[in-house]
Order: sequence, then structure tokens, then C-alpha cells
Amino acid sequence: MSRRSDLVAGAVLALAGGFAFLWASRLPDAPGFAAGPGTFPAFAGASLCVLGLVLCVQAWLRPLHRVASAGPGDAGASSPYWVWREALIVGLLVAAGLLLPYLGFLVTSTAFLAISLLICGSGWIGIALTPVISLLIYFCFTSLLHVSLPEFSLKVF
Amino acid sequence: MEQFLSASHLVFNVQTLTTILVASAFGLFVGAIPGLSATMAIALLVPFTFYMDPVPAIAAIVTCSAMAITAGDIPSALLRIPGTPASAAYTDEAYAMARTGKGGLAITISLVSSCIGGLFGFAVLMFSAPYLSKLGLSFSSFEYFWLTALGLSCAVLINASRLTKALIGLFIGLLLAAVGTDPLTGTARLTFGSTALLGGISFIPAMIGLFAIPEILRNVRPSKATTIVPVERNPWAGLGRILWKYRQGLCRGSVLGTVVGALPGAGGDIAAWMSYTMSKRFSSEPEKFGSGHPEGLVEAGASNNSALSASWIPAMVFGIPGDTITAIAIGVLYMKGMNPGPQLFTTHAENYYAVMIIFVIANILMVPFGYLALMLARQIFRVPRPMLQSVILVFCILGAYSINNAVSDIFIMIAIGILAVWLEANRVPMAPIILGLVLGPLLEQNFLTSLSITGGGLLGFVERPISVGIAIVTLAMWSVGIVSSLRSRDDPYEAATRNIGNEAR
Repeated sequence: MSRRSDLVAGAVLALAGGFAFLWASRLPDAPGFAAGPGTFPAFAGASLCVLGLVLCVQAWLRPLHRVASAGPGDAGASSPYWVWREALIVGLLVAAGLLLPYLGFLVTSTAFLAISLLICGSGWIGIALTPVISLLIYFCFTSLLHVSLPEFSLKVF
Repeated sequence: MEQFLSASHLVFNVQTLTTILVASAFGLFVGAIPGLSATMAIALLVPFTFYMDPVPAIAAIVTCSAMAITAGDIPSALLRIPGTPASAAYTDEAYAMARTGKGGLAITISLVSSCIGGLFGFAVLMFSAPYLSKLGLSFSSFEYFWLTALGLSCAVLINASRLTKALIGLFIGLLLAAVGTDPLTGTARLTFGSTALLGGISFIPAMIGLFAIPEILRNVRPSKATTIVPVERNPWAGLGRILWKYRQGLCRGSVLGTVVGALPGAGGDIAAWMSYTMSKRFSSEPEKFGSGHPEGLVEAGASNNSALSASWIPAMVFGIPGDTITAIAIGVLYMKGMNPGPQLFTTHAENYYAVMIIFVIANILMVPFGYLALMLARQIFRVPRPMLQSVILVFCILGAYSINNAVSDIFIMIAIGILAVWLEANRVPMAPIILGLVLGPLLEQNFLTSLSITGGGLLGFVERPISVGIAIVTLAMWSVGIVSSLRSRDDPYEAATRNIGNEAR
């Protein structure tokens, strides 16, 4: 792991931990109890904050030759092409979550499958099969597991 | 005997047996696909267990995890890509055997060793758990507090080479566990005004976010071209002779795996690495290791599955998970009202025995099913990756949604998934996060109860003999962990498991 990424991670975690600590320490005490509802999250937040700072210090003090020996896990991780693809998948997940209650499962999942297949580099045959796959999944959940899935709704339009 | 008969009825029925078969096939399929882990298979399976009775639900988890870990050996041997982290320890060895025309034999060695190791771990679980549960019945909140602290400590200390990051993972897990309504006063904690978070972070969306989303995103990148090594016609030829020759290693791997597996936080991955290293150290022909020598395969194969069985000891007896898989299983047990802990042996003993029977079935089925997967390996490897990833993502959405029929759970899954991707990129281990998430409420509840009993004093935590004992063990482990953390800056296990995702690309 590079020194810079550890420094950034440490700072982000210290901020997040500090924020959780402040939020939790403002919670009201529980009368008659030795510890209130904020004790545990405040402790966890403070610890995370301290550990984030420790990570920063460790990264700062790390000898330069260790910086150069980044793990193989980092190789190619900086390739913007693949990072964008991953970001697109995450965006697609968010869009699916937003549209699911309105478009229903069948429409959303068919569109989701088709677009994610395009992003992942699938051929046209795979994309053409997406309605069938959606129907199969829909059948498994609704008929076999008796899960009620969202249906297409015109309310939004 | 009566309880055992009731347990048999719970297992030998159409629903449970069908579940075992389907979960086995699913586990074998996921395990055989390079880059997809057993934990991800379990995380995807959990939403389905929600609609099952308790025993079939646990049967699905036990069989799926055993099959996935075993099937992970197939791409190890034939593609030199570990199917699961547990197979990474002996991938080069298995592949070297395959290159000499003995790929099938390498896999059957793993299958049978895994079966023997798994049954050994099961036997230890079967006989030790009832005795430990009797001890557990005398535990109060003080002992449970220390036991939970011990479990969390093990999960952190197992990553001695990156102690700070493991601790960060633990406290992230504890913070996630604190989200929701406080059980004591009903105060909303860390909900940021969201009503969706009042009930806390739902377990299943969190699991899917932590384990499935990062793996799928990692696999979006194209895999390198791989050549499948052909398998010999009779992969069983010479197997008996090899197992007999290395019977000592087989026993040693089974025992070591059981010990490592019983430790909270450790699991089959670490057990396999330790066993492979030990096998080389004790071997009379260490120079042959790395050139397709079966000795290490026998020992490490036995070890990873015995660890898998043994990880259920702390899970069943004390409700403290042994690894990430049992952490998920404990969540399922709670969801099904089959709360793990010593009471399980007095109030629901038939459920305990049912799980034991399932262990035997899963371990025995491993051999024929594993052989079937070996025969179908070529077809499994040819499944188009984009299609597989896209369908898994749809299952992720459905799994997160269907638990509470709430879209908010999909967003919780995505948020935790993004967090997990970022943490993985920064090499923060996942096991402490999941253990923190599962054990956080238990730790807090026992801490607050104990504090109420002592009237706010901390000395009361070390006044009872068993709690002192567990406290001393916990502190001793921390001392050893800190010293070894200062000595080792990087370990081969971590380096190799870090490679799995890359090799699968």
C-alpha cells in the first residue's frame, strides 16, 4: 500500500471516527444506569479516530524503500478504464434501487442485466437473453419462495 | 437417543435433503469459479434461508461452505488460480502435479483429505460441544463479556502483520453494529435522522455488501487467458497408496485445522497455510515441495475442512463465530430463533444433533460431488463471466430487498459495498468487520449488564474465577500479538491471498 493512500485512509477514518464520537457523546444519559446509549458508540468512534491517526503516523514514518514495494494487489488498480467500469456498475445498482419501486422487478432487472452485460463486455446473444433470465428469477422468487416483488406502477408517470 | 431420532426426522425429509443437494451444487459451482469465495456463496445464499425452516437453513450453509471450499481446489489444480483463499496455500503444488498429468489425482487427494479432515473436525465438535456447553451454563454476563472480547481479539490478532488495519476493521464493525435504536433507552443512535436506520443495519444487506459487491467489482476486470490442464482418465489411481503413505500428515493436518478452526476469527484459509508450512517442515523430502509433491496437499486439504467444522465449536457453544462463514451462520441462527449458546443443548438439543448429522452428510457428499465437479470443470470454467456477474448482481439486489421488502436495504447494501471496496483497496481485513458487526451487540449488552451489576465499577469484571481466566488469556494473546506484529511486517498468507483476485483477472 502506498504511503499516500494510507495517509488519506488514515485521515478519512480519523474524521469519521471523530464525527461518530461527537455524535454519540451528545446523546442523553440514561438515568439510573452507569453507562448511557452513547457510551459504546462513543468509545468505538474515539478508537477509530485514534487508529486513523496512528495509520497516518505509521504511513508518514514508513521508510521510502517500503513505499516502493507496493503489493501486487495494487497492480493495475489505478487503470482509469476499469475504475470507470466499476463506478458504472455501482451507478447502475443505485439506479436499479431507485427505479425498482416504480418500474417493477421485471423491467428493472431486464434493463439492469442488459446494461451491466454491456458494461462487462458481453456479446449480443447474452443481452438478448436478459428478458428470459429476468422472468426465470422472477418465477423462482415469486412462485418458489413466495416473495412479493415490486410490480410495474403507473403512479409515477 | 430420543433427541437423536427427532434430529434424524429433521434432516431426513424432502425439504432438508433437497436443500442439501441444491446448496451443494451451488457451493461447488461458486467454489469452482476462480475469484468467487465460499463466503460470497454463503452471503448470496442467506436471503434464501430466510424462507426456510431452521434446520434446512443451516443445512444449506454447512453444505454450501464445505462444497465451495473443496471445489476451490479444482481451478487451483487445473488453471493455477485458487478458487477460494483456502486453496491458495497449495495451488502451485496442485498445478505442478497437473502439469505432470496428475491433475485429477491432485483433486481427488484434496477431496478425500478434506472429507477425512471435515469428519475429524465434526467428531471433535460432536464430543466437545456438549461438555463445553455445561461449562457455558455457569457463565454470567462477565464471562460472556470476556469471551466476546476474546473472540474479537482473535479476529484482530490473526492479522498480526497489519494490526492497526485489523483494529480499524473491528471498530468499523462495532460502529456499524451500534447503528439503530439503543435497546436500553430506545434512543436513536447514528441514524442521522433516517427512519430506515432505526431498526439498525440489516444483517443480510450488510453481508451481501461486504462480501458479494467487492468480489463482483473485482471480477469486472477481464481475466487473463488461461489454459486448462487436461485431467487423466482415472483420477483415483494411486490415491489410497498416497493417503496411507502420508497418514501422519493427514492426522496432523486434521488436528491442526481443528485447533485453528476452534479459535474465533481464524478459519480454513489460515489453517491451510499453517498446515502446508508444517508439512514441509516435518517432511522427510522437503526438497520435493513445489514440484508436484502430494504430501502438502494431503495435510493442507485435511486442515482446511477440519477447521471449517471446528469453527462451529465456539459458534454453537458460546455464540462466538469461528470465522466469517460461522459469523453469517450465527446471524441466520438468531434470525430463525435458534439462538446459539449453551441453552441450545438443553432446550433445542434435537437441532444441535440435526446440525451434526448434516455435517456428516456434507462431508461424505463432498467426494462424489467433488468428482462430478471435476468431470464438469471444463463446462464450469466456460460459463460467460459477464453473464455470471450480472446475474449475481441481480441476486444481490433481490437478496437485500426481499428481507424487509424495503428499497432502503438495497442502498444499505450498496453503501456497505462501496465501503468494503475502499477498505479492501486499503488492505483492511474483512473478518474483524463482520465479527464486530455480529458480536458488537453481544459485547455491549454484556458490558452494560455487568456494569449495572457492579454499580459502575470495573473491578467486578475480574472477580469471578472463569472471567479472570478468560481475561488473562485475552491479555496474553494481545501481548503475543503485539510482539509478533512488531516482528513481522508482512506474511506469506496475506501476500498470497492478495494475489487471488489478481490471478483471477
